[in-house]
This record gives sequence, structure tokens and C-alpha cells, in this order.
Amino acid sequence: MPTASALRPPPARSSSPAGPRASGAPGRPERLVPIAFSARDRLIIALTRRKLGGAAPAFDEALRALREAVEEVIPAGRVYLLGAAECGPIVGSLVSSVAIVDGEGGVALVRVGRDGQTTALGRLAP
Amino acid sequence: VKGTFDVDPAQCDYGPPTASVRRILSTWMAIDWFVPPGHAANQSLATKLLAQYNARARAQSPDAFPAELTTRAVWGGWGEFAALCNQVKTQGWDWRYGALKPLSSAHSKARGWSPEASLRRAAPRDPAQPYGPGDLFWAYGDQVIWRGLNPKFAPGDALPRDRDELASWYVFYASVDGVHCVEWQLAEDNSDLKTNPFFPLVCCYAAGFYPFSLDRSTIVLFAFTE
Repeated sequence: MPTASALRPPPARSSSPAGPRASGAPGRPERLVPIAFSARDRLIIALTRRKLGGAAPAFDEALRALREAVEEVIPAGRVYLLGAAECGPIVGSLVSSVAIVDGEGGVALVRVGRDGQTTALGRLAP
Repeated sequence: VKGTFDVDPAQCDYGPPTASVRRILSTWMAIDWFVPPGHAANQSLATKLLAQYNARARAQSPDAFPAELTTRAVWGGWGEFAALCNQVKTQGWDWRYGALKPLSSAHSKARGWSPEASLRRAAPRDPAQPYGPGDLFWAYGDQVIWRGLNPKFAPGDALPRDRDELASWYVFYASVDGVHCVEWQLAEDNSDLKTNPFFPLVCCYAAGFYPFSLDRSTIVLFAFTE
């Protein structure tokens, strides 16, 4: 089982703390690597970003937006706890294994391998 | 190849549906994937299970499921399995998104089910832990999501690389049927599996026959010969 601290929600906050960011134009969503995402994944990520309104979200805000987007795009769409990283939980799709995870640079998109290892796919929001 | 879940069925406790949830999870976790059916009679059993699935689904959503479901068995090896996987990946009809997910969604909505409702029904656990070994849900702030049903192949059950991708794709898709099966019972709030359309599907996988829906009314039941 992942450690309790990795899966515990952080104290309430309204946005991610400032920190180092991955490269990319500030203030605009990072372009996705097309081959990494299905059309459905891209639709869900775009809707999640719209719900976040272009802001850099805290993880709980990103989770809420992702869950709402999945439920709007897919009937009986669900997000799942796929694992835990150093910075917190990994939450995403059971089928495509695309997920979100908190990181020093903000909430990131990753793909979770069958061995639990994650591959970085970019940032969820600027 | 055993596809385990990170849940101990014996420790699941969700009130009246508990016995059925444990049975569904235990049935799933006992499946030995990608081996020939244990018994030749499993072909007729699998055909009956598919008929049961369709009848139960049609009882819930008459317009979405056919009056008559055509099933045929195909026996073969990894080449034939790969061909069927590629066919359903590229054809216009998507069984899960076109039929199974809408069925599950409509049922859960009609019963007013939500993960939050099931979390409230779960047995009390150690508050110092994010979840217990029998927990199917995890709360992060006010968000409640599924946990523990991310299938993992047992250590030592690794498949050759060229088969691993296909096998993972199939098992991960099929595991969503297992999730819908559990959700159905949680939404029904009882342990009577007789109306659950997803339980015959889970049993079909357990019988060693892997359904591939070619269109709304045709399902191929694939079985490995060796």
C-alpha cells in the first residue's frame, strides 16, 4: 500500500505554490504529444483545462476538473487511483493509463506503465 | 496469467451487497488468462452466459440491446487473438462505449448511486491509513474515486513482449466490466446477482472465452487452443 502521507490531501489552498516549471509558453496550455493520447484522452484533457480556466491548479482542483470532464465525456466514466508518487496520488484512466500527478512544477500528465512506472507527458495546465 | 487486484475481497464490507461484491472480485481474481478453457463444455456454458448477459442488459435498456444476439466461437492462438483485437480497435462499433458504459451509467443514475454513497456505507477503518485492504474507494478532499481495481499480473506471470501489449489491452478493458459489475451490485444495494448483466460477462472470462463484439448483435467468443 502507498504511504499514508503520499495519499493524504494537502491543507486547503487555492492554487499550486510557485515552483520550477517545465518548459513551455507561460499562460498557455502545453501542446500535447499527439501520439501519446487517444482522441478521447485529448477531449478529456481539453475539457479539464477549460474547467480549470487556464489557472495552475492545486491537485484537488485538478482532480475535481478531471473527474467532471471524464463523467461528461464518457457515460459511466470513472477515474481511478492508479498509484502513488513521491508528491502524491496518481489518478487517471484504467484503460488508457493517462493520469495526473502532482509535482514540483505543478500538476503533470503521465502515463502509468503496467509496472507502475510513470512516463511524463507534459503539464496539465500552464 | 493471473490478473490480481489490490483489494482483499474478504475484507470488503459495503452492507447488503457485500457477499455479491466479494463473489465478483473473487471470481475475477481467480481467472487464469490466456490459457485454453479448462473444460470442453465451457463453450456451451459461455454461449449461455452471453445470452444471459444480453437478456439482463435488454431488460434494463430494451432499445440498446438486440432481441437476438448471435454468438460464435473461434478457437486459435495469439495470431487469431491479435486479429480480433485489431478488428474491434479499428471497427466503427465500440461495444464498451456504445453499449456497456451507457448501460452501467443509466442503471447507476436510476438508483441514485455514487462513489460517495458507497464510501459512506463502507465499514469504519483506521483513520491513519488512506484506505483499508478491502476498500474500493478513496477520498481526497471531497472527491471520492475508485481504487484497487487496477489489474496487475502476478509476478512471474510475464508474457513475451509481443503478447504483453495485447494481453494488457484486453485485460484492462475487461477489468472495466468487473468494475461495472461491482458498481451494479452497490447500486442495487443487495447481493442478488440474478439481474446483473455484467456478472455473466465476468463468468465468461472465467470460463476461458473472451468476447469480442463485432456489431450490436454479434459477439465472437474467442478461446485459446494452447
